[in-house]
Parts: sequence; structure tokens; C-alpha cells
Amino acid sequence: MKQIGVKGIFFRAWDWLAPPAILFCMVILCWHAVTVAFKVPKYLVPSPLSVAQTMYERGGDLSHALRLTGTAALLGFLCSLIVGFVVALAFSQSALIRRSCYPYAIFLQTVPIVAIAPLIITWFGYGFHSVVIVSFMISLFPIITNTSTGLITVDARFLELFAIYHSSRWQVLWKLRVPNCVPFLIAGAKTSSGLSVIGAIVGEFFVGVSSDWRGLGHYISDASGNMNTTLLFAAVLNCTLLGLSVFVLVNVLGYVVLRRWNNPGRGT
Amino acid sequence: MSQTRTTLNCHCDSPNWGGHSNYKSGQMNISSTGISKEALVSCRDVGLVFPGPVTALAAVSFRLRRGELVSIVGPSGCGKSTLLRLIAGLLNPTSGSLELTGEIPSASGKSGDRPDVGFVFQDATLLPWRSVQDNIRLPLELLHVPRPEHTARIQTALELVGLKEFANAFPAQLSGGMRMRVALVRALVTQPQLLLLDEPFGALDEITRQRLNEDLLELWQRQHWSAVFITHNVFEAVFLSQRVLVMSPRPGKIVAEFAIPFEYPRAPDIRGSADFARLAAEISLCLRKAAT
Repeated sequence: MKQIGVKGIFFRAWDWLAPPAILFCMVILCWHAVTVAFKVPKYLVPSPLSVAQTMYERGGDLSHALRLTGTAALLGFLCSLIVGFVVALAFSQSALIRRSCYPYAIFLQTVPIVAIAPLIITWFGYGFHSVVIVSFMISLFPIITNTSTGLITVDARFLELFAIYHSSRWQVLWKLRVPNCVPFLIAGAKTSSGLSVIGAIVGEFFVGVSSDWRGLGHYISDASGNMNTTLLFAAVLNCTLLGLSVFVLVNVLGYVVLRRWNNPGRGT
Repeated sequence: MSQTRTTLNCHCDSPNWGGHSNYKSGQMNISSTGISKEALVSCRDVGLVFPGPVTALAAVSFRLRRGELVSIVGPSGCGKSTLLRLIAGLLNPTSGSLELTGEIPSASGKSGDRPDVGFVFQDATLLPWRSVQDNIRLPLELLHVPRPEHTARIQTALELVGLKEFANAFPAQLSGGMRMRVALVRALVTQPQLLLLDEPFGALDEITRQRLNEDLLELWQRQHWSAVFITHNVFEAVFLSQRVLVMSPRPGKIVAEFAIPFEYPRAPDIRGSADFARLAAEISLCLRKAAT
């Protein structure tokens, strides 16, 4: 019976992985065919083969860049989780705080990050701090809105249940509102995880070429300046990989945490 | 002092326990407020007007004696649930007076003028992220009952409704009837003087509902709390209660009262007896008249 179980898991993984993998191969093949057949110049669209070659040759630089960008993005993401949660807690506790601060939270969301990134760099310097702060700012808003929603929209009957036992505000917050907001927080974190990578790369664009901070954004802007499209493709591919892995990480963590909330297995 | 609450009892030796032990003796104890200590709940012309204005309740009067099980039936929207929330202290009446008598120590050991109340909602209202035993633990946590007492109390509660092996299950894994049983013992785990039930079995199938009615009666006979049971099911009301009050549509008021003479313990098959059918028919007729 156990063997069937393992096999089942294998086939399920296969069901999930095979279609995108096959599609990937087909796209790469078409791409390659098009670049060869129409003799597309390298600076317009490099062939997948030359991108792979560049990735291999510049592997050291790119993996270092991946590490730098990844660190900044993760740090920005973590900060946005913590700050976003604390802000949402404050919002949930007072309608006055909520009303007075919410417009500015929206402002944070609507102001183009590209427009204020240079300012941030002026304030925090050409390097790590600025990159983290840009990443943090861009990923903060989804956490605030989702978590506040989770903290505020609590079933009225649960509130009555707590009121029956003369619960303190503190008890309602920690035993009802906070557990209630966890699925919302995770939904927000999924959105923010992708945004944090975008933020880190945008930050790196502005930090500039002269800086010591050579993340993926640096290579993208450098490669695009030099018409080194192959390197550009390689860097973009790395960005995608980074975003994907952060997203997968958050999803797996979310799945583990949410087992209690959704469809839990039999208790221990 | 005779100790009638044998199953879930830890405050019987309290000097404040007061009138509870002689609830059957018929003796009238006059409390400082001048109301008989025998009456646990006394509503006099209780009215509630929501801003709008919508008159939800108009002059409701009734008394609930200690240890009594009373059902209130009425058409939907007549304010039955509102009345229950008034008794629970979740809402305040806009006119009339509503008193809960007796200085009874609550489960937290603090004595107050409001007797300890348990509430059972229409849905089980279990926290989905807490296991069955942690859901039952919730009221104990909220009332700051010392931790070491929890385990024994939760065990007793689970045994009372035969859910011992589901202690670690989550609400989503239980059937509707089981969830309702958990909700019932959660309300009872604080050893309340008064249990308020707001159409608790309305969403269950008929057989499960009958089982739970029997379970509820058994618990009541063992533990001797008082209860107000809201329902729109006349048969349920007759089977369970000593008295059935009939409410009119909004603005709700009590239009009739029926005494149910069947002896306790009530066998499940009294539902088939001629007396039972006649009483149920009478109450149904009264309800219908009230609704028109």
C-alpha cells in the first residue's frame, strides 16, 4: 500500500511538472529555430545556446550578483513582513489611527517607486541599505492591507463568544484577531515576495555602476548600456529564478502553516 | 449544603454559593434587591429599539427560576435571539428592567452580580485553528482559570459527550452533530449557572437533532444549570422544556406560556405519545395565530 502511495506522489508531481517542462522545451526550440532561420543578430535576440554559454562563462559574477540581490530582497521582504504586521496591528486597534494613516499607506503604494528611488539613494547611500529600503517599500503595502483585513474582519459571533467571557482587548487580539489574520498575512506575503525582488532590482538600477554593490540590477543596466543583450538575457533569467524561488519558499511555508487553518490532517 | 452539581463542580464550598442548593425547596430567599433569589432571570417589560428606529422587542416579561429549562418559540425575525443576547449581557435593553439575580462566583472565582453564563450559538462557532480540546479550553483561558485545572475539566467535558478520542481533531474534521456537542460542552466547561442556547440544533438533520436533545436533557439533569432554549421547532421545545413561551412577530413580545407536564427523565418515545402530540399541536396553533 505504501509503495502505491509513493508512486502516487511521484505521478502527481509528474502531472504538475511535466506540462510546464514540455512547454519550456518547445519554446526554447522555437526560439532557437527562429534565431537560426532568420539570422537574428545577437544584440537583438541572442539564441538560447549563447545565453546558456554566457551564463556558464559569467557564472561566477552572476551567482555573486544573485546572492547579493537575493539577500537584499529577502531582507526587504522580512522587514515588510514585520513592519507591515505591526502597522496592521495598530490599524486594527484604533479606527482613528486607521483613518489618519491609511491614506498615506495608499500614497506609499501609488507613488512610483522609480520616482523616489533616487531620493532614497541620496539619503541612504550607494549600496546595500538603499537596495533593501526600496525592496522593503515596494513590498510593504500588500502586507499592511491583507493583514489589516484579516485582523478586522472577524466573524461577529466569535466576538460575541469572547464578550460572553468578558475578554480583554488583549485576549481578543491575540486569541482571535491574530490567528484569524494568518491566512490573510500569507496571501499578502505571496504578493510581496515577488515585489521584493522587483524592488531590489529597481534599487540596484539606481545605485549605479560605480558602486561596489553589483547585484543583478547592476548587470541588467550595465548590459543594456553596452548592448550586451546576451548578458542581459542571462541576468533577467537569474532574476526570474530568484523571484520564483522566493515565491515557492513563501508558498511552501504558507502551506505548512495553513494546514491548521484549512484542511488539517488528523491531530497528533 | 447539599451538593447537587456533582459532575463539574469546584466552587460548591464557596460561602457565596447561596441559594442554589435550595432551588427545589420552594423557600423564598429575599435578596438585597428585593427579588426572590429563586428567580435567576427576571425580565420586566423589556424593550429594545434599534436606531432607525426599529422596535425589536416590545415589553417582554418573564421569569426564569433557578434550575429551570424554558424554551422560547417564535417565527423567524421575532427577536428571540435578540432577547437571548439581552440576557447574556451582549445587548442592553432600551426600556424595562432585566435582572440576573444572585451573587454567584464565576468560574474565575470572582463574584459578580451577573451569574456566569454559557452561550451556544446557531453554528458551533468553533475556532477553526484550534483542536477540539483547545476550543473547549478557550473559555478557561479567557477566564484565567489556572492551567493545571484545564486538563481534568476538558477530559470530563469530552467524556460527557463521548468525544474523548476526538480531543486532537480539528473542527473541520467533525460532523455537524459532533461540532455542536463540542460547542455545548465548551459552554458548560466554566460551570455556568445559566445556559443560553440560540437555535443550536437548527442546521442538523432530524435524527441528530433528536439525539442532541436527549444528550442535552441528560446533561441538564446531571448538572442542574438553568437554561433558555431558543428554537422554532415546537417538538424540540416540548420535548426539552418545563415551560414553553410563545413569541409574536416583531415587535416581539411573549403572547402565551405553556407548562409541559412530562416527568424527567423523559424517554425518547414520549415524542410519540398522544399528550405530546396534543401539546405540540396547541403550541403550533398558538404560534400560527400570533403570526397572523
